[in-house]
Amino acid sequence: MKKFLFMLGCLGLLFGLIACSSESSTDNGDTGGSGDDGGSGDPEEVELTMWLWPGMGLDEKIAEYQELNPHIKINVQEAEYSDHHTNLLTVLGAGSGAPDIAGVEQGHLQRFKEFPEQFHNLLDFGAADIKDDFLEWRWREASSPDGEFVFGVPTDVGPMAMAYRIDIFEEAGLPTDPDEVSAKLSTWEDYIAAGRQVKERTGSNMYNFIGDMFNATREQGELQYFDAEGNLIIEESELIRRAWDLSIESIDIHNNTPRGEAEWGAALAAGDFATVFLPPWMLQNIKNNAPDTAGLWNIALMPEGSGNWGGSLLTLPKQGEHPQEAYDFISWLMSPENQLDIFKTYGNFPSTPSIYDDPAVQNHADEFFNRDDLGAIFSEAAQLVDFVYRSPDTGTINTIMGDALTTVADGQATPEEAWDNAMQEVRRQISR
Amino acid sequence: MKEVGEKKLPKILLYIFLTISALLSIFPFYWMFVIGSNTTTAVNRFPPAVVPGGNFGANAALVFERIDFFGAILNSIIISTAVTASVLFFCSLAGFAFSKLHFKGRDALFIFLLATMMIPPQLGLIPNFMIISALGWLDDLRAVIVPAMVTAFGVFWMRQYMSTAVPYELIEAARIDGCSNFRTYWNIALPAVRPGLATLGIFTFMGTWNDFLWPLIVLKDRSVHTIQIALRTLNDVYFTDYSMVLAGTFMATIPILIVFLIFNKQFIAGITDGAVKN
Amino acid sequence: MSNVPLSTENSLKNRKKFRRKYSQKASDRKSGYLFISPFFILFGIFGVFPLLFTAYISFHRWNVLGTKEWVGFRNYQLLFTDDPLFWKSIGNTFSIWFLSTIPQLIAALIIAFLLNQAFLKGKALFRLGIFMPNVTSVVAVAIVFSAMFGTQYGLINYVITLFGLEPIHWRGSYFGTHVAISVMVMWRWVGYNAIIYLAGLQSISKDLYEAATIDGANKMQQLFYITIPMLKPIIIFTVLQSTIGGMQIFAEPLLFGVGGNNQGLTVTLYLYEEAFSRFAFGYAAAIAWLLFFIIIIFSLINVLLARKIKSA
Repeated sequence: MKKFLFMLGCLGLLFGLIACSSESSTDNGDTGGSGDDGGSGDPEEVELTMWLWPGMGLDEKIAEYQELNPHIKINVQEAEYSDHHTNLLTVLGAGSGAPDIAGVEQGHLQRFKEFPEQFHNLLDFGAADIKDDFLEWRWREASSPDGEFVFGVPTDVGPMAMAYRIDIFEEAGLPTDPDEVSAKLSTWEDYIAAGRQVKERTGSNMYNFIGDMFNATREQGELQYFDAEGNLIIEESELIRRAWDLSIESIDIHNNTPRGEAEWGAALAAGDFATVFLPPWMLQNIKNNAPDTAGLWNIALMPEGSGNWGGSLLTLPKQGEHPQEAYDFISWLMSPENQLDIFKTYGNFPSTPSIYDDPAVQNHADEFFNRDDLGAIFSEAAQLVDFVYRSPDTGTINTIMGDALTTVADGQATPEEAWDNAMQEVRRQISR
Repeated sequence: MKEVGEKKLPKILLYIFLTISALLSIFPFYWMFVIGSNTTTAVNRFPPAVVPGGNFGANAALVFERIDFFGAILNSIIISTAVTASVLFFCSLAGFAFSKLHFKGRDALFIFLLATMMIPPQLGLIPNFMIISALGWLDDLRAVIVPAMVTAFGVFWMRQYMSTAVPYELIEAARIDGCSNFRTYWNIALPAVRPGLATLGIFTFMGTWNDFLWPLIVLKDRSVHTIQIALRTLNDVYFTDYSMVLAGTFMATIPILIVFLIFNKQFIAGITDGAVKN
Repeated sequence: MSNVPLSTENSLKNRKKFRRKYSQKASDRKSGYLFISPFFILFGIFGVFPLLFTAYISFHRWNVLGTKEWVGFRNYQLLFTDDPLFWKSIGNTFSIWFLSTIPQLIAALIIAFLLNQAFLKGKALFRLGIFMPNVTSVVAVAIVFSAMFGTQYGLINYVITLFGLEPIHWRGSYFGTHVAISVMVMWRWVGYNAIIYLAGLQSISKDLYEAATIDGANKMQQLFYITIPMLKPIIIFTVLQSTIGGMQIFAEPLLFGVGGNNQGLTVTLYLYEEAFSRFAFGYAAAIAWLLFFIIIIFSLINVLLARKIKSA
């Protein structure tokens, strides 16, 4: 019988755990994670919860802001990059638990942008004043198509350039000086011709994977899959047709090694391909994956301009209760001066062009890539980036097109079959 | 009892087979240590490093610098221990009822329980988050512990195990001696199912220890991070230092191994205790 | 106390026995419901709402962050009539299940049977060995397996080409992708199931084996006439669990990659992508419900098959 009572006790404990906590739910249930428990002393004291992912390089600046503004406490909560976006989706969907400030990465932005009702409009807090600090295309990406709603303050950007192997280019009889390379490979047709020369004379491929060629060329124009009214124009779009044709055309000089695969590093180190299209943040990946190739690289502009890969916005979810304080903080955090400091410490490429002329950017040196002016080339690239109109479905279609090119690369479909399948799948996805 | 000795060859084959299986099973774990004790660049070479390097200390120091390793371990220990203790008790109790007690609707309730195992869990995230939020359990370890206190899996396992390991005669005998149902469960059934409990215990502990999908949605604050969430924040978005990540992962595995060794004795305890049945 | 034979009190004893039987029934009922109640209470709190919620939104077009729009059975109708990817994912799931689960359970049973041999030395060590895949972090598993299944720099292809054979493009074909994913699944779960079988074997009395040995039964006969029939409840457990687990397989294809033809796309992965990449929660909910029914039917079939095992 004692045991029976023990059992009842355990059950009681179970209930107790559930019951006692539903009482406490009243005090922090709907403050959305900013739970300051009333703030006993100073009424102006504000705690801001900020969701980021690791590696954004903002820690020092966040600490500095709190020193300058003792009444603001910033509670940074980090989650892994994809976890972070799932979490953000969950709390917005559930209607509670969102932070005051949330990072949103470029690749996830379009889906969230579809729902302005979930975010504060930064124009309500004075964002018009800082608009001109930022790259024009970047600010447009951060805004609704009509510019009346601003979702977030841009952090860094990822303007694309092209890294190339000096030794392979030399062996193939191509120029090795970056200006000459940019001149010689000024169009994609030139690039493919040079790639065939590389393949013929050295046996190396020109680049890693046709899907990356498609992405790079696709980003070089304003209208991709949709027109500005959101109508599907993929089959009429000359940009897309050209990107597709160039990818298929260059299939003999790609290595069939997508960047996400583990083999990318090994192939890179072995010199299996001679060029890499890359934004500044990817420089580190090359160094880490292929340390033995130090000094064998240089960087030129990509054919026909640039493109952007990466970068984020700092947004203010509607659930947050201190949008003005939060806005004051993020607009300070991403000011040109602070972006310059962040660039000096972490190399995050600034989204504010006014500091591109700063010697710290211009003369950013890196022996691995044989350059003492790395910043100069990416600054130039950043200003060559076109604004690209993207819809919430752009990411979905990117995946479909990438899959289609993969089937061609793997010999699972002819280019015509792959294109037809992709168009069918695109139409189906969009019509749902 | 020397009947197996007659064929020496198969015995050697048996050892070879088991050794190969064990080596195949252990290799990735070993490699985790190899990477964790080298540098990431050494690992990205081809062919990659296959012997441990001397960098483990440096990688571990980086881990300690970036995350609150021991705080997160402590949270994980609290959660996993609480869940395991609770699962062992409640699941064996329910398993006992489902296999040894007769009551109306028993089979229907059991089938219902089985059906709940078949619900795909992915979509539960948002509605479950709403519940936890309404209970006020965000950033509270209870959000992870309470929903896991009894599992259909555990009940099912204990019921199946009880039905092979606890014969009816044993139950009848206890009743004739005037035992209540709870006493029968506690004094008769539980000792007979120790290997089953050990199995459930280790799998529950390990599953809870390694889980991150649900914890990372409800435990956002650094102070309540479990070790798995903390380890995930070692992945930077643009570049991952695998050596550091795997050094941390390796260290985070050691507690599970200790728990396994604790339960390990219990796996075979049943053989010697088999006497209960006579 | 009750075994004192008193013939004169026989009728009294009978009545007592009757009373005991009767009250036993009542107390069985009481403690039965009480003992199982924790599960049902927790399910009531944390299980029912998500289930109903999912059912409810499966009749809506709902992009998680926006408003819900009632669409009736449209999501289900689209799944049945106009979604080749869904059916492809079902085919992939069954194919991977078949390739991984059946060999996995057989291998686990054999390993457990061997590990249970009385003469075997170093049992604890072997047991720890086969348990290791469950302990190893998925990050490490992903790295190791991508190193093995690489096309140009993979270990397996390296060995294959040593024998002068053509390297396999693991990520670029149905065969390669399904085999690679199945190998990962088997690697992770054989030890797990072996430990479960091993626990089950502990409940079989050694007397049975001794008697069989005296009767001249060899090891094979012992396996088929004692071990397997006695393990039936445990086998049913593993069959059901690996059916459910296999139908919900998620981590391995995610780690390996699904390939351009979506040849590695499983149902739960598709569901997850619909919900969390494309934000189509209503549609994902409909997939979840269909998957739920598929799992129920397929589990029923498998359990019925497993029950055909001769009872002890």
